[in-house]
Amino acid sequence: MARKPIGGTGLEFGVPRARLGDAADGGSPQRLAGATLDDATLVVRAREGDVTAFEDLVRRYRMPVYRIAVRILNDPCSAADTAQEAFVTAWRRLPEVKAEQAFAAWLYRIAVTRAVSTLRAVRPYVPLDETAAARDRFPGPEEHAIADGLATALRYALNHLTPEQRACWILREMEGLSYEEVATVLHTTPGAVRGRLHRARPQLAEELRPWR
Amino acid sequence: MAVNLADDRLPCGHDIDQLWDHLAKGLPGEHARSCAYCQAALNAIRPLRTATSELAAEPVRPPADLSGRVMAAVRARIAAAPRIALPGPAGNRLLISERAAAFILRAAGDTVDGVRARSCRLTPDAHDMSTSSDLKLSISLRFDMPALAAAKAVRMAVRTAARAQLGLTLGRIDIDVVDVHAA
Repeated sequence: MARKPIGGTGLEFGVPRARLGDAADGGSPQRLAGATLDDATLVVRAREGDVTAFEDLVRRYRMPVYRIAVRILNDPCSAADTAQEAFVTAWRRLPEVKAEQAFAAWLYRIAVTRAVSTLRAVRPYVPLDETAAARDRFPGPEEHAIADGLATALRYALNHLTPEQRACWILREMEGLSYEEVATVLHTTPGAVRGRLHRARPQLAEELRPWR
Repeated sequence: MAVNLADDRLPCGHDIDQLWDHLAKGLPGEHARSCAYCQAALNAIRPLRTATSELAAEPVRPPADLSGRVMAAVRARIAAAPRIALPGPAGNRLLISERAAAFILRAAGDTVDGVRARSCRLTPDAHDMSTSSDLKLSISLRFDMPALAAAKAVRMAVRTAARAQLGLTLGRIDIDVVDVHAA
């Protein structure tokens, strides 16, 4: 795994600071505002039991963690549960984080793993066109989405990907992570990430054919 | 002209993955603008690119109480921290958790310009602080800070805070610069 600089670069794991959430509401006056501290400092403090340092990390990452969960699960309720469980798991497993490791990648991995397993539990993967019943449960663009637009059509189309393909698509194409970062989160190689995206693309493009 | 998006390469030799990534950044190269295969592939993937951008741009708000729920669950799981007995009048005990003491000492370290306190350990884990205690503090230093001067200032800051806020006399203070950060 590639080592990342752990200083406060203003850019944590491909996520511009501006998108990391409203950090302005945290921090007591007697210490540095959490928003100004780098992840590595906050992680070390949290690991030694500094709850406020962990709270700063939660504020910093609640937005991307929830966003990834809701995009994988397509359901705000279970996404909120997944995000909460991911953070609590992260707190419990803080001793496992290595100092030189990117905290964001580690956290995203916990969240994605949990979201994918939730997805498997509630909605077993059904390949496109396998059964008429599947089609009824996950309507394609021709039934529903033309009236709602392209983004809605894609939301339905993403349902037909395997959970792993879907996670790849969301992390790379929607969260803007690099192939290497996606590979780290999904515990695979950049080549495998490229392969999954390459296979997902014709399937998704086909489902959006009415918009060509 | 029909192209197969599942192929690695178009008949003209161009890579569909690259075409897709170029589409995200803007205009594909000169070849693609005049190549019928590339044009066909671009037409096939353009709606998907647009849809992906639209979906990614949709605002997503986590529930307002997400942080609160997380922190409530975290606080419920915190194990009782070891306590330190602070010096006081004979017969009256004042205890402070190591966590709370570390919080105060880190905050003192943070007051020094260019210093971010990280790990903070009082050593040995003596639970009677009536004499003096040693401290191990790791810090990240801003890239332009001279380490010696910073260490001296940190020692003074934590020694003062320990005495003023905890009534503790610190003995040896070891400082470990473990990282450097940008301004």
